[in-house]
Amino acid sequence: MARDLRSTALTVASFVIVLGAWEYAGRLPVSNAFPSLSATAAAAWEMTRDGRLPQALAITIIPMIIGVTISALAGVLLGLATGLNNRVEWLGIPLFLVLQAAPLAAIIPMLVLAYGVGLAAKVSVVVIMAVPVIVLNSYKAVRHTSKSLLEMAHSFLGTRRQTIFKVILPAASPVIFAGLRLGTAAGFVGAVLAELLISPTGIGDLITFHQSIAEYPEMYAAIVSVIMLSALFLEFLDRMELMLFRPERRAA
Amino acid sequence: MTVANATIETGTAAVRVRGVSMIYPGPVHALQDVDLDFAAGQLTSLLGPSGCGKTTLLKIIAGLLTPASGTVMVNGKKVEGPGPERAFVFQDFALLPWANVLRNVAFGLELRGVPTSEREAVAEKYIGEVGLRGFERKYPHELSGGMRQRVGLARALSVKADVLLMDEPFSAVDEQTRRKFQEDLLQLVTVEKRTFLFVTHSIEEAVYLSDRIVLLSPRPGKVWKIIEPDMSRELSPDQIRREPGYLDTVESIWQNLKDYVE
Repeated sequence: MARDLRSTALTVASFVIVLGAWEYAGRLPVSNAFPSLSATAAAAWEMTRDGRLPQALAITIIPMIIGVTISALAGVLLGLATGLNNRVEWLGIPLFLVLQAAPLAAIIPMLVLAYGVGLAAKVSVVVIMAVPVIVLNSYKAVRHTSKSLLEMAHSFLGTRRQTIFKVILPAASPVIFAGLRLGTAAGFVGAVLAELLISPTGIGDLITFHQSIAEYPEMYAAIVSVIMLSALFLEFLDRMELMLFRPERRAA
Repeated sequence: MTVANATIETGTAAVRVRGVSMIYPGPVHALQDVDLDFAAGQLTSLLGPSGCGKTTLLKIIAGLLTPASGTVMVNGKKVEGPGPERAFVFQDFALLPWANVLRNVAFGLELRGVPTSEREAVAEKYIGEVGLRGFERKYPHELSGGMRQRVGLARALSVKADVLLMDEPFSAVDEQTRRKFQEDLLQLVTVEKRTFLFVTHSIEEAVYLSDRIVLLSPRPGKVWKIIEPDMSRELSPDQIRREPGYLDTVESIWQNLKDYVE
């Protein structure tokens, strides 16, 4: 209980410090293009009231959600396949290692060539950003299942299927979820990148537009809204993992 | 599976090991030409310094390792993998961290497709027998090392295997807990009337618990001597530790093993 309280206090303190520093730097000002927290908040409030911000978020969230969903499903499945089967590992892992290392912004023009400037291209940017880390994490998670748990399942006559579903998957779930969190964050980056580089829509449009007419508080409000969206989504993922796979952490 | 305890005649061989050799890449001769019989209803210890292949032999009997040559027969049937008549207790407990005590103990039965209510009833019984009543809903990380191994033991007992294979079950448990656990295990051996194979590197533990002690010598692992502690099992746990027969056996095993300790 005391520890809970202390960790909450620390979280609050870290927010206060960062936000306070922002406000201070904005008031100095560090640069004319760097608005204070209060100016940004006022702009965000105004943009929420007249509906521009929610509308933009609603547009941006579409390729995010489609892309992240595809990446999560495909990524975890591919990761499990590579982790459970040596041949799939040989086939798949080098590809994802290369993809993970590639500077993906450089591939975007190629994607535009293939998919145009619409939703498909943006979804593909999200997927390409998110999938490698999800695959690689799921793969490592499966490969690192405790040897003695596998031996235990074998000695108590578990079938391959039972071993996968009752031992390997639950054991791998923390690392798989860590990959999902990283992948989701990367996917969100991809979604914004796509709106900035492919065609300005949603939040990307707000950012470019307000930047071009030097309305920096509005521009920052748009940026902050996307960060908050991403943070909320990651928190949601955390809760889901706890609910589905970690009864021992709920009990403690 | 329910060919249970009544049919076991104490003294007949439940496990027969014939000509078993094991070579690890290297090559390391972990075991060479081991012939052994393990009597039904008894507790037999495999004792020896590290590198003598005692855990390897236990895992071969469990069907978790395939020997380079030789055969193992359990209840007259050749071992070709794990089987329902054998259950394993792991050195590092091998409990599912995300499952509570009840599910962990019932896990062997869960893998065999026994319905939930039935397997939990069996698990409850053995949770009581190993002294963990009241801890059914706890998770492994909430238990001490000794309690975790009691869970591992209850899991092995729950599947009603005739032969229990225990791989240094107390080595990760602190000394006080270990003593208490040893006393409880002796009690269990009398109650359960099953065949126990017990790997240990502790001479005292082997003498205290065993009806028979198989001494293995290292590199290559070979059966070197078989000792039957000359002491009465009627004594209380504390009396045994002071009994001359117990102390003499410990001493003579130590004199024998000394040469192998560098």
